[in-house]
Amino acid sequence: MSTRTEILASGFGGQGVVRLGQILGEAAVKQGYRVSMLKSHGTEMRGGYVRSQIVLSKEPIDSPMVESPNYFVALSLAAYKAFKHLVKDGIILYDPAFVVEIDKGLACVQRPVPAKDTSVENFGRPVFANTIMLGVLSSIVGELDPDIVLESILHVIPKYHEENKRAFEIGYALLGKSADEVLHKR
Amino acid sequence: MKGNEAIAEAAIRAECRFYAGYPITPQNEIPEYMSRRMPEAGGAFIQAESEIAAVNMVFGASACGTRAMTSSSSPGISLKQEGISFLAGAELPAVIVNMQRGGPGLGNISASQADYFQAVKGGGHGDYKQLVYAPYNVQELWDLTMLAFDKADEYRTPVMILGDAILGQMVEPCIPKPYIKPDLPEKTWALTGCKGRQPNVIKSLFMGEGELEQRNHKLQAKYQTMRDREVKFQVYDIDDAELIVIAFGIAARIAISAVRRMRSEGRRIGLFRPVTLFPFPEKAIGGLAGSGRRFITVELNAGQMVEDVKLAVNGKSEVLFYGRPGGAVITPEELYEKLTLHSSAL
Repeated sequence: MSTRTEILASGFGGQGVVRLGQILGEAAVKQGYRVSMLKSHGTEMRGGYVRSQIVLSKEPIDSPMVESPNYFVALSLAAYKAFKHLVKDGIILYDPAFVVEIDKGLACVQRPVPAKDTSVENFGRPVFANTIMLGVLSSIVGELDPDIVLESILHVIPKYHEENKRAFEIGYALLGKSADEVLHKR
Repeated sequence: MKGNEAIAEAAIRAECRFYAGYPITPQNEIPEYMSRRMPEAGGAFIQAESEIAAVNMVFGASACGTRAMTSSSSPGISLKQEGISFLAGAELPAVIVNMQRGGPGLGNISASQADYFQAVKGGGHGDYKQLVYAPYNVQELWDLTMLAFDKADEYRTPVMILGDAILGQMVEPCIPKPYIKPDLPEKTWALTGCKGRQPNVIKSLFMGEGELEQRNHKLQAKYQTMRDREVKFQVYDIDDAELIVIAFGIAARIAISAVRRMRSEGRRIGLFRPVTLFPFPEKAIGGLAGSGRRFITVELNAGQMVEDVKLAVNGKSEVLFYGRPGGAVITPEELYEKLTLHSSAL
């Protein structure tokens, strides 16, 4: 199962969790990967969590379910608590604006990504947090080509191309040197 | 492409020009998509007042010779059973999509395969069957939807696409193969306005002496032809397998992970995936039985298809079962552990 790269993103409805999965999926397809994206929604939109499960592989993908994510993007405390234990040797990226306390006992790497606050600082509103997070992911997920991810963002999101481009670049640089460390660990 | 959208677009391309439905998760993308696309294609989209109304509208559209479809999820499909029985009795073609969710009752909105019995054993009243396709990826949702419309017309029968919440909600690449219509008999039975011909009557009520028995024999002969011609299945690594996993739909997809992993460890294990659930690949499974071979069915329910496997095997092999009911989804890891336990002697 090591031929798979699993990405799990989860948060509240409306944060762009499904959009994020769609963009990553589209970018990976353009790069020649086999991709599946499974979203959970419905009643989960009312107070629980929304989840995107993305699997990338060079081989045909059998189970579309994320069992042990290499990357877990946590955008709410409920999501963090629900899925943190799935991450064995992967990385958790959490937005501290929502995930206000983390479990220090976990063995995996955990990095705060202040996507919401960075969006508010730079654009005066939080809507670009998702694009910032995609920038961060592009800086650490070795399989992803950042240029293609950006191209997919601009393709999937019809509006605010200039802002999204800038938000992506801010995200891409956000982890700085520590991105290399995380990338190296993989 | 998302699973539900693949079904809707494939239906339009396969010349479906009538859709009626009523909202229910996890199949809402089908009516949503149809509401936009069907008018573009020159067809009719109706959000009905109920599931029952929707299936009866499909009955009406089909009686007029139009390719017609409805979709729902488990509780809604229960409501449609009367209409499906009427379609079968009146010999009307129709495609019915069931994106199964957990049951019984309202259950939950997670993936399930607990409507297997309902789909393959009739569901509604009377001695009838419907052709049942069990796709396992988005590509098959596309391909089998197109095929379903052709088979519905060919046999003048309701055809069911039996999916589940995961397949419906899953996004993956799909090649939108063009629709090539086969040679099908003209619908001379359809109610088209009756100009210059004898009136056609479409009904499921046969009160004359022996009339209904005759109609039933005709239906049964049709189902026998389906058993002879329409069985579809796929096999993986079964030639030297001592343990054969039998699973359909999303359960088969989960099972492939576990089976591949065990193969790579040198275990003699294979997978048999029925694509049609009615007609069930009973001959093929029966032919594999015996000589110490064991079977295990893996299902997202409390054990339904396992009964058909036991009938097919007819005592010649041991048949085991592993499943989880109530919308719980088996993980490949969990299945690997279970199967390893059962194949420890191999």
